[in-house]
Amino acid sequence: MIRKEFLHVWRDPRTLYLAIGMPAVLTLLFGYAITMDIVHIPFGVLDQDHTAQSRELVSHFGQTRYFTLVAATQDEQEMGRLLERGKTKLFLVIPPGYAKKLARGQASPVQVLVDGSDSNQGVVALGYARAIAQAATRDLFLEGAKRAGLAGLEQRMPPLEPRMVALFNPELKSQVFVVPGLIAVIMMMMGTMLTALTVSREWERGTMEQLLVTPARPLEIVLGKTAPYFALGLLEMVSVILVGMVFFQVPFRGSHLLVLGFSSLFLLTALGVGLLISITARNQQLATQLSFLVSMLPSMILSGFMFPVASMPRIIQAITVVVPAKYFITALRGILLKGNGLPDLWVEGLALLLFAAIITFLCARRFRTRLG
Amino acid sequence: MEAVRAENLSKRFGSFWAVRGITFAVQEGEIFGFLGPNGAGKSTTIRMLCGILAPSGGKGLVAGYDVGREPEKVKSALGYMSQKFSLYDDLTVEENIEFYSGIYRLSPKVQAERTAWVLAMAGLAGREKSLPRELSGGWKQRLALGCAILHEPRILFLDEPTAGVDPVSRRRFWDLIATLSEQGTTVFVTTHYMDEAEHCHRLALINQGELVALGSPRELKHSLSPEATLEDVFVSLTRDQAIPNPKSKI
Repeated sequence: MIRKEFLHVWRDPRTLYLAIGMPAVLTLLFGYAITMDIVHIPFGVLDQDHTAQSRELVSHFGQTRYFTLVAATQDEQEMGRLLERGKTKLFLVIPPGYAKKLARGQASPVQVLVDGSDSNQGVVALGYARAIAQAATRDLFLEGAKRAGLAGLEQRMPPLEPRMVALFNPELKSQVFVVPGLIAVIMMMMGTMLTALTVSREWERGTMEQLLVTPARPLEIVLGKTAPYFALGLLEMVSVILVGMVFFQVPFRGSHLLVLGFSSLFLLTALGVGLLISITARNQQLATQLSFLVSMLPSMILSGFMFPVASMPRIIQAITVVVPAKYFITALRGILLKGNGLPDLWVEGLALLLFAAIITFLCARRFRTRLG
Repeated sequence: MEAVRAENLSKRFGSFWAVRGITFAVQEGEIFGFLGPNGAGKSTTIRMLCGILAPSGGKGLVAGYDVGREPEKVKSALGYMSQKFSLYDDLTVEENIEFYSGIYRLSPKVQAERTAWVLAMAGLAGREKSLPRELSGGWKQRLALGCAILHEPRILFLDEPTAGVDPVSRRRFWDLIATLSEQGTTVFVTTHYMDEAEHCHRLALINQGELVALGSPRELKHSLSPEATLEDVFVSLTRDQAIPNPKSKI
């Protein structure tokens, strides 16, 4: 019995692939992409002090691998924009008189603004910021004290807590952060997997062959097969948002129409991928495996759903460029939590449009009412 | 008038020739049988003639249309019943008929007429709301046939229509075929069953992708011997597929 089973496993390439290939892929993916270390957080600084000390503070932040300085501005509005658009996840605001107060041994407040829409990152970023700011300010303070000839001041050091404000999601609730990602994952599942399954089921049963012999045109068949799943996908989006709003206080600060627009584009892509899979995999088993590998896995791990993209190794980051879910989740978070409009999200919009167009084109070319 | 014509029809899958140089013609109203062992190329040939598989070589004409160049016109002119009966298991009898009526764009009046006709023909009047999986082989078969001829096509392609169906239902099915033929429909059918082959006007025997015999049942039998049965003819022509005698020295 055992020998026979070994023979079965050896002869079936699919089983081999599952047993060896999948674990390897998963390990690599999970090892590199899923990182609990949040690093390379993009941050900006609004330095109103313009002293050597304030610049020192900034460089303390920038020199660690946790933060990367990407913007410096004097304009509060621009700071708001940068945070809203997600170009910076954290902003350091150094008020005028920072260095002077330090020199006099007084409490010298510094403000840290954190983008709370990404609550995982937000919490961690705040933690880092607090630690770095404390250490930096303490060093600067001591230096200043030494220069002023004041000794023994360690005991009398004023509290160095920077003032922290988490924007957009003040309580840094993880549900708020998770809900947009969840919508994307469910949509991918519904759109891709179910579409792939339904078409390959028809192949298995023989009804697809029957359909091909009828005068039904390819477009009719495709529309017929995918329309219900499109409707279901939109319905799912609405219900998840409603549940999120009612039970988890997820805000809806942006335009409903925009959400609908982005969702439709993403859904179109998901359905198209499902269709392509079903054209390749003419039986349900293969269709399921392929859907999971190609759509669910990247959408969950590489899209920024749970794990921030900026913290992943460069190679993996490059791969995330072709994960549609990434753009959708960014857009959804932006619209729901930050009230982003189209000008803020034009990159995401363009990307999703491009994906939808390419997938539709591929489907049109490959779905023919002929077998060979 | 020729309903179907194959000229040197061939199909290649990679380096394997599934069908090679098949030539024959079927007259209108004929019941034309396509016989052959498993894997001989029967289904491949039918698929080419139905316009769902592009030929690798040769030409096929159905109702005057070229299967390679005008597959859509071919599809509108014919009815097809596949081996697997192609009924939707989770749709009722009624809904299946309704679906196919829609595909062939029947007007509501015609749809109503044809639905009634199919139900009567299949003996399913009163069972419109049943699901196909609740029906036994014979009923499903007749329902599938009904769905294939809703649009009253002039040419009908049947791929192993009686596979797995009891003898009584088979007989009933062939009576239906005979009636259709008398009304002028051309019926092109593949089968394994020798006794059914007797019902055909003419037969083509396929083996390993090639046409090995063509003629009426009587002609084919007589070509072998006066007492030969079709089964003898079949076996003699597909001899190389027979199981080798373990005792003979090869």
